[in-house]
Amino acid sequence: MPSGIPFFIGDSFFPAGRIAPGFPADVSIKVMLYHKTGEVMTYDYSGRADRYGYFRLTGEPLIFDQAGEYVIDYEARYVDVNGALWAASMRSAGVIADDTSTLIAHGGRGLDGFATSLAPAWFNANQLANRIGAGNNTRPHFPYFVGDVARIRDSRNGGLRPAMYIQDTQGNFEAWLLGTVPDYRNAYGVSINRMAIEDWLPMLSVVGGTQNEYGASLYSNLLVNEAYAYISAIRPDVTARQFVLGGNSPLLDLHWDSEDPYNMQLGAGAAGDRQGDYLFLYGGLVVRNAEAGVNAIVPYAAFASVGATDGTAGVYPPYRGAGGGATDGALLTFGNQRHDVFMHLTGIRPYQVVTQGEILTLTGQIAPTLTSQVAVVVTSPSGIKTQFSAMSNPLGYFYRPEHDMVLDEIGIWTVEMTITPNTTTSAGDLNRPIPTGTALGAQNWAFSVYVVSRTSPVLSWSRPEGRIAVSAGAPLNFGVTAPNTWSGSGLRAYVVVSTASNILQAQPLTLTGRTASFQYNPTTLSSTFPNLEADGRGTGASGSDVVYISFIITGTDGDGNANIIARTASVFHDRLYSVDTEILRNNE
Amino acid sequence: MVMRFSRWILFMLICLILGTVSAQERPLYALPDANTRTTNSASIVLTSTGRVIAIANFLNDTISLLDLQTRTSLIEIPVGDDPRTLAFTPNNQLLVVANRNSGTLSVIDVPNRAVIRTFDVGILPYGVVTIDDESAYVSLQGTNEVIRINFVTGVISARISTPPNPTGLALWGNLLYVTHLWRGDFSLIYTPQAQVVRVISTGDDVSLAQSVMIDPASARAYLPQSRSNANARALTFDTIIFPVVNVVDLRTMTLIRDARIALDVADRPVNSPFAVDLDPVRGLLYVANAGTDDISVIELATGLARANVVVGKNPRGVVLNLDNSIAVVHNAIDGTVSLIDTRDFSIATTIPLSDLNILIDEVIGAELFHNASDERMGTRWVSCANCHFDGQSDGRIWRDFPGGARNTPVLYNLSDTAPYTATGAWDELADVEFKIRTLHAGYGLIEGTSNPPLGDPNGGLSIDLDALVYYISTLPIPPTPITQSAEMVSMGEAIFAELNCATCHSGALGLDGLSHDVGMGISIQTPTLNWLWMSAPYFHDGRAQTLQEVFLLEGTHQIIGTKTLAEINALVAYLQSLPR
Repeated sequence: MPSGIPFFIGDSFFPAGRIAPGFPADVSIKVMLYHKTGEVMTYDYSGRADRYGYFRLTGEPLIFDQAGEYVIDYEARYVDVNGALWAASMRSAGVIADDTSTLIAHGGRGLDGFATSLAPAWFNANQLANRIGAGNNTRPHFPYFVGDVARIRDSRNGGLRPAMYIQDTQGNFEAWLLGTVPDYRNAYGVSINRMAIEDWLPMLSVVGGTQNEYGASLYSNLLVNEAYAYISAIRPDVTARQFVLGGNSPLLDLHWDSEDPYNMQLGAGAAGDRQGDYLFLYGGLVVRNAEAGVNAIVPYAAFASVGATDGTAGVYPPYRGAGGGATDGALLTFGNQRHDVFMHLTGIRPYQVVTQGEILTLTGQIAPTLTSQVAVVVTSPSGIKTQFSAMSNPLGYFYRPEHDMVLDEIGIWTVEMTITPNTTTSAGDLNRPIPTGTALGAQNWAFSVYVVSRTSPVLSWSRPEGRIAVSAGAPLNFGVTAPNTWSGSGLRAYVVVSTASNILQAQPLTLTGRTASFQYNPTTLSSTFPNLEADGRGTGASGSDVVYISFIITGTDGDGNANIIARTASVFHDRLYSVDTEILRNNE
Repeated sequence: MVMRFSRWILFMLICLILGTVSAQERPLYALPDANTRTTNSASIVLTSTGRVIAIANFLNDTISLLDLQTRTSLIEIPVGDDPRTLAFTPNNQLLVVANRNSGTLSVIDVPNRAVIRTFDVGILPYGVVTIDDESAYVSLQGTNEVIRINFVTGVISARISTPPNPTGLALWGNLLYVTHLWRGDFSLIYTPQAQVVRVISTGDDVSLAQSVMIDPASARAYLPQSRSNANARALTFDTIIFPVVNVVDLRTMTLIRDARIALDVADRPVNSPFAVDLDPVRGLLYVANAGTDDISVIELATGLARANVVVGKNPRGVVLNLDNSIAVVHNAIDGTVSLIDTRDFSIATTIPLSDLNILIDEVIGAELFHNASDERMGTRWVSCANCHFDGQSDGRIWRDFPGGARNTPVLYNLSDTAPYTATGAWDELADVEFKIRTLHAGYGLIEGTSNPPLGDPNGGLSIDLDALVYYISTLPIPPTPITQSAEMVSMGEAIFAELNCATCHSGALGLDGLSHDVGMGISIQTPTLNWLWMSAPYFHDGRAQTLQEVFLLEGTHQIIGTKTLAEINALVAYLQSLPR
């Protein structure tokens, strides 16, 4: 689940995900809920990932029934055969929205550094920069409207500036602010009165009836207006920014450019964001003001995709103009494949290898971040079909625990998914034809899930086991061989190459006898997926995207049964990990 | 034999299916070749020789002629009331003018510079295009039809029913394309059959579809339009109205969504794009933005603006000269034309063409009513005219209007219908200042703080606000079309009396100046019963799509239990005949 995602009352949360490398780590998750009423609730989940790193912890899903704030701490630990401890942790924070609020959360209009009166909500950044004299600056704020799409450029002048403002549709809070801090002006000289008219009220902390530069931190007990926002900018499996905005610094400048390596997080890559990368931009606005009668928790979500260094930048309404307004083309384009709507799956991922008995959890974030109808048909290896259709939440988060299902058959499962927007956009109602989408990485609206027996041996391959040094960016050759006991006829081999954000390859392999060969070639792949770093610069595991490679062979085993066998591996820039055998041995 | 017969049936079925498919894929009618004359209704037109320009001065009730070569004004000629569009005949000898308020067509002898004929054509004529040297098509907004008229004899030889509010016309051979003012419908009339043969939607939210221009080389139609985002989840100044140019592929009569030009992004926020002209050589589209007093010059290859040229007040038309070196812009409220040098997009000159012999309050009021770029009035996004053009209603229900869903009202006879707004929140028309300051995000016409609504008067605090109030309270009222028999109307009038409707809907305007809860849980100001024929939907929140529905829905107005449908229809006929 992307970190910082805003939930709504009625949404469900369940800890499911993937650990890299694919260790059967012990996973513990603590969910702390801070209800609007002041009550604090804590929920603990723990369990173990399967041998491919997939986890979906047991127990009942958490269904949010009250508005509030949340903090979720994830921790995973695994001790390998050599006694080395592998550990990871992550913190996520955000809100459970109060859908009765009369406040609306917005990002910022216009370009970073130009938060002026009447800055546009939608714009081509080059065009706007020329007009307002912003030079090479093409860095937008978080899009002003929920559901909008920011296009950022892969350059030092690209990137984004987090921002969050308030619209008061009812007027009490606005009137209170205008009456209490009538002389407030933002850093660009825009008066509070003008900001109110243009519907971008600042998140000010006000102490004892005045705005105080140090008030929020030194006089928190005297706060009469408390306003802050959880901000998260999440690239799949990489946190671009996560912080709380507001208090004394409603305009805190934590922008980033597209060269930011994000503190060398695993998978971030030395070059930071690249063309084809995408980010979900989340916000959770909290305003408490007894004098104005406001106690609001308001969600925000938008989407950003990274374009070429010399490409366009700007902010646009979603769905490629289907809701009216401008279009800057598809959300993402890889080769000939254009995506106007898609879901980034965070439970089961497309073409994932899991063990029998795991739960198929279809959950994720839809882009653009607005309501969509999701229709799913799951077909088991024996041909049993299960279908359902359900709505995402208003910001495109999708999870319906009632449709979780046990992957009780080994073999290849197929998941067909169709996503249809069902919403009004910032620019208006959707006109037909309405664009539709599927899970990112799916082919022909469907993807496979490879389910192997818990006791299945590991598919043998031509490379050494364990952790292997490789030449970063260089092609890697693989050969995988079906067990000798399996019948030579009817064998099928497959390879899947993926990153956290997308499926790069998912295709059958040609078998020669029992053996299939495959070359992973990042240079070739990067011509279709330019966000894949192929130049090999830098050293260390964080030098480029984490690439997952899986090999699967199906056929008839020595007992005459249909069977499936797999091997997974992870490429961490200049290291190749294949720990399946070690894990199996360790488990034994 | 049985087998053979079955096969034959199967064969026929397959042929039938294939035939249907191929028929669906074929265009309805072959397009004319690219050399066939195209013409579109406009407020500024150029003779085919490129020598003379004509403009329609809607405020001054005149047309003006300009010699483009010498850049001198030739003459200003009085025509009917409210001339909107005009067209030269192919031989350039005659100029025909559609006069909206007077419901007439003026015919001008161009060489002699005189009106030689005037014909009554119907209610609210708007667009006019000439077919040949004797006949023209005219769109009639009031009766939802396009007529073919011989302007030598005055004979109307065809009446073609269309979707509501036919406005802009473009003729290309046998094909006549029609825009519809408040909706995104775009109609194709096949003129040999004198009927609408296809209607497509360019968007349910489209409004102010004034004109259409055809590029025969690409077989595309360019439609400058506004989009009214009535279902916006929260109205902000920049989510209400959007300026666009939609593009239609005439080969297939389909909207090319990817080719749409969202002018706010392509250029900057502009308002009320009314007219376009194309320089096909440089691939530049000139868009006249009536609400922001500027011209967007859009490069079609990139979809971005090459220039934004500030011109005079309320530019409603733009036309390129024959070599595309000059773009002539009709500044409708100034009564001037701006000549743009297209080499560098500079203003070469501005030429006054009308003496504007009208009250200054009307001029200032009209200017403010149509304007979105004066920062007192707005932020370049919204003008009064966007929802109330010509005093009409855009027919929309604004879902999240402050105070709840609201149906846009018509603006006629306002001086007699106080208090204002559905809940009577304004006691004077000058309280429109609050709408300007909030919804439009303007600074307001009153300097400093205004008086609260229902408080001390705001009238008299600003000369310009008073002028705006004058303009909106004196908007010309269109005549009511007669669509039902006198017998039906009189039966409805009797039912109106029998039901004591006049208890609240009294007098000539049909109102009592009070507010009532008519079963909606909220007290609503009694609305006038006049102009119901043009103000659907009904009730303050538009919950009744038709007048019939008013009497079917639950609430005080529900009479379906006591009156028959025929009686309700008679009552509706009576109400639609008001004012009489």
